[in-house]
Amino acid sequence: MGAFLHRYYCWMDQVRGIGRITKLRLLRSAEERDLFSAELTDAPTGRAGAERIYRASEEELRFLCGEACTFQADAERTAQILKRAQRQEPEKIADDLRQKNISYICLAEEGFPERLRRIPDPPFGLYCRGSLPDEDDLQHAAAVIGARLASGYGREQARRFGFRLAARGITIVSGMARGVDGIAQKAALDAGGRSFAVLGCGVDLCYPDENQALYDRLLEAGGILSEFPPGTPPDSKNFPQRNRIISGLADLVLVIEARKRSGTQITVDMALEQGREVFALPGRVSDALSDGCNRLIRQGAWIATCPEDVLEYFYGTGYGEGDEIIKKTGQGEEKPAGMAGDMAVKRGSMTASMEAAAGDPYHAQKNELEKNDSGIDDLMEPEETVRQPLTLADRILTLLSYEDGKHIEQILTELGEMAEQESGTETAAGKEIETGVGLAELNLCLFHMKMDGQVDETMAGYYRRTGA
Amino acid sequence: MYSTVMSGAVRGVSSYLLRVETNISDGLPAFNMVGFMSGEVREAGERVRVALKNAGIRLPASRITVNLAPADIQKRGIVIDLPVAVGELICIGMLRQEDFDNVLVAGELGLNGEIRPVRGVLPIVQEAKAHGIGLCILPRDNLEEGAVVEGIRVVGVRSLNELIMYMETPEVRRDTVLAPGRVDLDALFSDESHRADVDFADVRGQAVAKKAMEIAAAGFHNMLMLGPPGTGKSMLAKCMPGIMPPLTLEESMEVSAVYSVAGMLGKGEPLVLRRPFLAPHHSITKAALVGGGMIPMPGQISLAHRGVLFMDELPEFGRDQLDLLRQPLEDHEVTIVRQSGSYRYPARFILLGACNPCPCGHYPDRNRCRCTNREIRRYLGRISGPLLDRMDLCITVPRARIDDLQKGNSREEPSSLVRERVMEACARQEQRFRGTGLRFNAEMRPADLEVYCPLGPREKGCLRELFEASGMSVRAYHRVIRVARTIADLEGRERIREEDLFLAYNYRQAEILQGGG
Repeated sequence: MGAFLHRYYCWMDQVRGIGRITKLRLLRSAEERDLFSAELTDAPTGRAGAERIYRASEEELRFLCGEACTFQADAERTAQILKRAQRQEPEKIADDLRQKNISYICLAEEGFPERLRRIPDPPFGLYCRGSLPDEDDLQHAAAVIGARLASGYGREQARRFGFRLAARGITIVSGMARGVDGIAQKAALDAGGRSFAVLGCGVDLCYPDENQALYDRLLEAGGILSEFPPGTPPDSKNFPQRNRIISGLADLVLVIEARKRSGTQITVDMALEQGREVFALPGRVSDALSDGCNRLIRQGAWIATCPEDVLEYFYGTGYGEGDEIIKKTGQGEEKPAGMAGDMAVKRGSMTASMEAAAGDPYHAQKNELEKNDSGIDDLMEPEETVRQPLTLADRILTLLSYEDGKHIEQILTELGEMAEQESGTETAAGKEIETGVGLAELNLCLFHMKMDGQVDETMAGYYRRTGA
Repeated sequence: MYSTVMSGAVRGVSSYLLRVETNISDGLPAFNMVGFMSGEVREAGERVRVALKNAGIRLPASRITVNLAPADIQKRGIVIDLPVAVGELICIGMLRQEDFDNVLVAGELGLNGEIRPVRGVLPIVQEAKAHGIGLCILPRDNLEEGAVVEGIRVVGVRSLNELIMYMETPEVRRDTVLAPGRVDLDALFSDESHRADVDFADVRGQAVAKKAMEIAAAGFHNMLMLGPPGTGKSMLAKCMPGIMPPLTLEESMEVSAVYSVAGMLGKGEPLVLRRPFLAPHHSITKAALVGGGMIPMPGQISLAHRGVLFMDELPEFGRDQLDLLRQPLEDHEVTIVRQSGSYRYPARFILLGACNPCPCGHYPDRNRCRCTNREIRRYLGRISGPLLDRMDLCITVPRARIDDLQKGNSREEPSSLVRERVMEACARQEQRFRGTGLRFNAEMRPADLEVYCPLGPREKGCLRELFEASGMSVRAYHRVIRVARTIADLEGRERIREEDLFLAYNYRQAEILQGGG
């Protein structure tokens, strides 16, 4: 990391009170004065510009500032700030960073991500913990962003996309925020992929602190980046700014879930300005959290229904459809998703599920329970099994959605209605007989399904189907 | 001339007998009251003087001394007008001392000589009976309340003159002057009008919540309901007294004593016959909740004795208020210590809490709720862990479905049916806990669980599975068994079965409050 550290650039970066545009202009005029006439974007080699500013006399500073600033007053002020800043030791600043294990790279230096350098309004430099994204990392990079307060659906999809994209060699760039960001990045690391987080605070801070584990893992399998000097506290005004870096580092931006007006929308606007592709995950029109995504789609964003849609963009048509590719990355595939797929096949037809019932653990469990019941006393009606050709677990699964949790109360009622429709004649009072399923039985079944990862409890009493 | 008259006073919900001694002797005309009393008790003297005068009785211009014995108990906030008046009447010879040898007198005097009701008559008459007193002379308005105590003669008088007339009548003919009060307890308790205002049949759907309430009522478990606003949590709560067994005479006496002391027994309502249901607003002060004041009065928790204390918007109650509940929930009574001594009020109630799942109330409906997890945690965190530990049942209540609202209530079970099951379960508990001091499953301590809740190997295995899968605490583990015991009781089974444990497990709390993730 020390290789990138150029103390004068560090010094300049940490001069407060001067905007990054002015800093870049200053750098350019200093270099021009030094007869380095090369374009900045062509990776200038010297540190001469920054060093020159650091060592400039007051008169020279005034001249440089006069060139960099449009207004005389600004120039005066800038010169004064720089004069004062010259008292700080670049060595010390660099040492400080080194001690904190933070590397720094300036826009003007070699090794600065080329792609980021070319965006409008690039950052003056990047602070980094872990590793800086190199060419390999950024060859295929996708920004996965979305709401912090994501729904169950959003969380699930963030996980799915993050995992599968990363498993196929796509670097995931995001903001390590709560909700979609963090989940996608975590999934990417789970898949053994690379991921970079761009923060709106100093890289030495973990915000939000609940993502500490992710932060630590990112140091190993990617990096934490920020244009803000270490120690900068998280501030809402910093976040939109950092978003341009997220999209700037990536080839495309994938929006998982977003409300109508949100930070995600800002990122998308920036991505478009930077010429990045935008993918949006469709959602139900009634979901406030999908408003943003659906609107993006209406405006012409790519529709991401599955990770393959995104992979196609990177690797061309046909990729992700063939078996070969699935095999190639199959070892990293999530277990539950695969199982859910099997289950879906099983549920395909009623007869199939009946046949499969013998091997179905929930069915077996239920049978056992019933056997047991009749062994102890005869409260349970023997016809019950006849009346229910489907296993309870199957019935429950048909009632649950992947998106939102359904309360056990509602499951119970709907099971009752289902039984009613089948038998047609149910008039007896009392929930037990009415539904054919007691609360206790339902609980037992849901518990086992939860243990097996078929359902998941979003909040006590609310159940949701897992997998996709 | 010297006289002595028995009266009674309450202290907490217990009472003690008070001896009012009066002496009229020669000397400078004066009226003195002694016997460790506070200012407001002393005012009795002035009222008595005027009331006697307005009743046409002249007191001699002599030195009158009144003593309240025992002198070591401070008398505060009690009314002893009538006994003092009677004492003076004896002293001036208008009444005979021997007529009052075995008589208790209580009542407040108006300046016009009328006799007004006092608080705490029920415990006073009970105390009188315990001391073998034969007759209680009470204000007419308190007659029914006193008459509830069987085995003691009580009469109610409206005015001083009526009292004099009654006592002047020879003992054998007194009943023709004023008939002793009598209350037909059987009739009182058979009256079906004392039911809860809301019936279960009026609440559509919510089978899960109803089942939980049935369990809570049967085992006297505390319960917490979490749900968005407008899902019927309060309505459900109001059904609670209706599914609990009716008060027994003994329980009713306990409850009535509290209400009597608080002066809250209505006229013509000698006993509290309904299960109390109290729903204090969350702006309540600590003193109003657990009892307090200079002379501590019973608080809401004592007024809810043997009934339901419903606390809507639980987190909005201050944390201080909520934590005050912990000790009464454990000990089933509350002790309030004041300078004048310590007062003990019973407080065995079902705590029924209701709260929204998040500050805005709509979680987990993310279309409407934008509360952050941190906000949710902070909101629910206002309910302290120890209080939560005392909540055996915790459930979420979902928004009602339109279908349930429209289908009519023909299929909903009425409270009376549920109550029958609850009563059966109570009977089972009574049988099981006979002679142990326990009454309800909720009171079982871990050691009791092993005795009363034997588990088979299959059930133990199931508990192990639950324990390991959910990482529940030891307390939660015991809670599951306790609740399972009640579920089995409701089903009429002697042994706890696996499904009971699973059902009980689902009424757990930890994950509700951690569910913000």
